[in-house]
Amino acid sequence: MLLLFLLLPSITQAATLFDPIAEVLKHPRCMNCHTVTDFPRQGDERVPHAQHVVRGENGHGAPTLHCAACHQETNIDHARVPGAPHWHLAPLSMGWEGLDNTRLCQTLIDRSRNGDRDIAALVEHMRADPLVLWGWSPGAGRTLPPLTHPQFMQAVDAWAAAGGPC
Amino acid sequence: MAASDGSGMTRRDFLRVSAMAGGGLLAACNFAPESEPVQAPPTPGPGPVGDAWQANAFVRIAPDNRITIIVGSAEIGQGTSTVVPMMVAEELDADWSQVSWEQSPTARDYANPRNFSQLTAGSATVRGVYLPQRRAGAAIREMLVKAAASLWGVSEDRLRTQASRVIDDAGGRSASYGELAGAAAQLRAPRNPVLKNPADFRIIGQSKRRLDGAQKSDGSTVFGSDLHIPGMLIALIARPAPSGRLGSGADTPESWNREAAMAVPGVEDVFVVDAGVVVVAQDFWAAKQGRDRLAVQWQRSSRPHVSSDEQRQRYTEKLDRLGAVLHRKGSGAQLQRRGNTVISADYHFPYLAHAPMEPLNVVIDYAPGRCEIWTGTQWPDGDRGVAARVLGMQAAQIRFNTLPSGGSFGRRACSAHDFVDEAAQVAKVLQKPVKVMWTREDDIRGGYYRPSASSRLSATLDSQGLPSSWAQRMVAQSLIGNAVIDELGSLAGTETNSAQGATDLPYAIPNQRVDVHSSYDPVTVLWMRSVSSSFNVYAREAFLDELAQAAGQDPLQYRRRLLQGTPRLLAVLDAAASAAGWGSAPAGHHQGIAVFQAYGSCIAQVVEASVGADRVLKIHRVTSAVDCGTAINPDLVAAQIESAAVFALSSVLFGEITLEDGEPQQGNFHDYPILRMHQTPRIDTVFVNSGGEPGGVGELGVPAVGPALANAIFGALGERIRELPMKKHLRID
Repeated sequence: MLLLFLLLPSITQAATLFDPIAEVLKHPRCMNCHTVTDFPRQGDERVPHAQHVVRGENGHGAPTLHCAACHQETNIDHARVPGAPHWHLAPLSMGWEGLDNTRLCQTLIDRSRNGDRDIAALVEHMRADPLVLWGWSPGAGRTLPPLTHPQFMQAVDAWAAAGGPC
Repeated sequence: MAASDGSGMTRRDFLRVSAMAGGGLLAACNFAPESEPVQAPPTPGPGPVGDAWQANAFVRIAPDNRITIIVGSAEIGQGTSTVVPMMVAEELDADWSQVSWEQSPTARDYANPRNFSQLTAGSATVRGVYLPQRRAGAAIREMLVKAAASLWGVSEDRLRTQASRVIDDAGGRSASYGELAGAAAQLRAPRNPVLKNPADFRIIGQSKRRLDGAQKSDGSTVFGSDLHIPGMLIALIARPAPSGRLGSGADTPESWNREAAMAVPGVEDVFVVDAGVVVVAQDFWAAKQGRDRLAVQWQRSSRPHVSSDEQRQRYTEKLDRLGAVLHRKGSGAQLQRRGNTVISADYHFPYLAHAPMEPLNVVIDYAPGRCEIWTGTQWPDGDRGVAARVLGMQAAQIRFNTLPSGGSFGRRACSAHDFVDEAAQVAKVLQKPVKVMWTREDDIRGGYYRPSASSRLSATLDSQGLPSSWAQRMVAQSLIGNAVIDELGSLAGTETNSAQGATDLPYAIPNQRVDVHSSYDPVTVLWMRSVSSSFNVYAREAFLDELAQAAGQDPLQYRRRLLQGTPRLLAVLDAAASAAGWGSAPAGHHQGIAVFQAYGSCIAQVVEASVGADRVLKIHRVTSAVDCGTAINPDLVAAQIESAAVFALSSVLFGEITLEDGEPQQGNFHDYPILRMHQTPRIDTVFVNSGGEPGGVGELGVPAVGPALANAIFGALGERIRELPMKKHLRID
């Protein structure tokens, strides 16, 4: 009990630090491609991707229907098709659906599941990866995550500075 | 209207035959009303333009024994290009492997005797031409036999026909139709050819492969979207919202940025016609980019622009007031006012777009005094008449080519002929070959919707739990588009736009009343596959399940009790229940059943569905039992029923056009979805055909699917879905 009492501020602080990040990660712009299913989802209603698109062997679609068949390096707004470099589904190890914030955080920093990234590499991924950045310029009237990208990076930096607590 | 001998034929000579240049035979039938002038005398070869008799051939037999059947109705995917030739080939005893089809020109002689127009609609093609086409085939066969008998100097009695040959078994000889055609063409057509006994059919009743299947499979079929003629430009039109597209009260363009559109490379011209602001370009993309830059501001007419929410409220209020009574039997109303317990439920239906896979398009080549049009349409003669009016020409001066349509569902049978009307407007100004194209968004936002509707059903039950009274009140827009005409029609008991599926209640209920409020809303509306049955039958069949539930009875047995007087419906009901394994669905699966009868046919459909976690709806199976009298081609009938199941599920699950200040809020398949392959259930179709003349099947399979699904969902959730689409209430992944 005493231990819990002593730990409580840090637990609370950790939760506080990661919560705004979680709210972004749980937004459909991110979550639709971080699924635990064999297919991506679409839209704020998160319906299974039309055309019955499937994950395929490496997240790039079925041999007969690669993601890149439609998704180019940039958004094609007149066709409402979003696009960014290396458009594909996040691996199943990075599936976030159904996780609470703590589990989401743990999954994110687990090097066996996050592409062997340390905290610094994670921060860099979220700062500069074009597929991550797409979430803030999704085109065609799509909704945006609850924080702007600079606000998000402020939260990420603060969380990383604290050692990436969950 | 012509006097008829009961077979749909007029008293005039129904068949004229002539020799073709280079041999062979050309036969033309007359289905046109007698009051029309007799056509010009026959001369072989294809005619130039219009209604010259020689253009109106129905059957060609070439010297090499190839037989071509010219089909007057439109091929919109339903298979008319196969079933109509089958009727002729049957009586002709043709070698089916040598039979091909051609789309007819646009001409009076190709009018369907059921509607006196070249209108492919109302599930009427097969019903309209079944006897006339068979008679034509039988008459030509008799002439070929006569020609052979004369050639061999034998009696006709000892000759028989098989696989496009006349055979003399006793003489050990035979001749092909191609060899005999020239001689047969010199003979007089028999007045009363003898039709086969259906027991002797060799082609009708067989699932022959589609005559258009190979070309559609290899991509060689030319749809309007594919057609390109030399020098052709592309035009797109910026149109006002559907609320502002009604003739004299249309919205008009107030301002638009012509310079911005003209600045797009490839854009050739921008001009205004009644239909809107036209951008003409070398190609589609330039035309689209030009139109995107127009930024048209519309001067609104005085008409209110409709909003769906407001309309829904207005319709609901109308449900409390008596409308024009369309149908009355016994004293339904009194029974419901005598302190009896009244069960009542309201149902609401949104506007729907036809959303055919191929958006509308028209190719038109016009210069003063000369015009040719190509388009996928269900109503070529009507379209041609409108084009003639716009261009100040005689209809017969316009060569109008009907192309196959990539779906239609009624949209290409537009009573306003809007897409051809506006193409003619464009051509009149441009005077160059042009294709007027519609984008998918144009198509879905273009109005001519299946009307929205509200319906209140109420009933009382007798001591057995069966309905002692039944009342249905509908509020729906008139398809005529004029509320005054509609109300008058309603009062006279002739308004049928909203009535189908309501006034023809199949159940034995002693007291009935159906009344309607024909709403006037300035939105262009149109029939869609199964017309008002698409909402009336949903309400009727879903409500009947509510009564069965109130009576504590099984929905199937409840219907059986009420259908004792309608043996055909009872037969399909039992057949569907049996084929679907009624009552023995897998664990977690629930079944619903519904019936529908129209177009001379009957159907019962069972839908099996489950609702999982997160209210995710999964439809597992649709089982249909059909009685269409005689199925000319069972596989094509099954295909119609299967396609209807997909069409109906698309509508009831997803279909919804919402208007906000007159503007449709949907525009493409991402927000106006249709059923996808992974959502499509197993579909089984069984036949319990009662024989006799064929009934229509194009629309038959649509209305009962939705309520059968709603009834299955009730089994799963204990909830009644009374407002469509179902995506409002359930998840459909």
